[in-house]
Amino acid sequence: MRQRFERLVDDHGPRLLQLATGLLGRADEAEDVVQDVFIRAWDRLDELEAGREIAWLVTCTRNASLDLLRGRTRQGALLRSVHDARPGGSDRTDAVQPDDRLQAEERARTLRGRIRSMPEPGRSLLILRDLQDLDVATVARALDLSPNQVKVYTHRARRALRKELRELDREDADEQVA
Amino acid sequence: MNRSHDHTDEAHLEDRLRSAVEPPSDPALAADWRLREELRTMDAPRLPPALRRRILSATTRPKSNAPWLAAAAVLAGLVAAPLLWSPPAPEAAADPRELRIALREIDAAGRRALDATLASLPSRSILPDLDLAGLPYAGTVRRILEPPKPSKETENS
Repeated sequence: MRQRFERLVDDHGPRLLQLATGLLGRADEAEDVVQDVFIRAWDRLDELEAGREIAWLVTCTRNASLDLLRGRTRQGALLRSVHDARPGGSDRTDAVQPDDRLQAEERARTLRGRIRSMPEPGRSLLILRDLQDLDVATVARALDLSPNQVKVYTHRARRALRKELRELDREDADEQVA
Repeated sequence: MNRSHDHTDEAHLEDRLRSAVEPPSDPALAADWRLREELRTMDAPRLPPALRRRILSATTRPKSNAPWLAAAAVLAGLVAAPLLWSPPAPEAAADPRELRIALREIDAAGRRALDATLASLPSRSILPDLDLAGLPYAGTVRRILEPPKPSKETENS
């Protein structure tokens, strides 16, 4: 029983943390959510079907994250900046890092920020399907959607993300010209 | 009908995109494919060791405390029920010493009142025939109010 639980933590912990961080944008809150989810999973381990725990874990993580987000919105707090999304992240940049690595990090931050600003369920779908490559059936179970809806909404969310990135690139280009 | 058709098309495009190992010929789908590849290859986060330790230490307790909590609640109910349903206990008696002092004070005050009353009466007043038996301190009251009987020695002299 204990081994099974530790395997769940090791196999799915990073995935859940990425989902919570992607939704919340704050590493500290995301870690708290993941910890709570695993404590609940431990209490209900007997009820969870072995090998199919991931859908339940994803559902709990997503719901807890969205509840936190809703609470934050109610309080009128602004979402933290994209920089906070990185665990232990800061605005500092390392001067000795190569330019291409800096550019890749900047691009990753932009992508995460844009995904985070998307509406549900597209935001969760992009994280679970594209970033994490979870299979359609699991995502459908976790988000309470049909497999066809998962495909369609993922496709639309990706298109919307691509459109936003294109506009962002255009704005950057305009700024450089100006 | 059209909407359903659109859904089918989009689902089909998604299937094509995910099964493609290189960018599809359709430009829009190729752009989708590149974005998806970029997202897929983004650094996957690691579980911070401190978080892993926190999770494992927080779950070392028994899997569920529910049966123990239920048993504790039943026991607490068994203890509390008789206390809640029993009649209120009589108030504790006052300290006997305080009670004695109070009675003595009443007695002294009563004597002083009688003395004052007698002093104000004419010395040869005829007292009515009083039924004092039902009064507290009846003996004392009678002794004070009734005129002293002349002793035989005085009568003889």
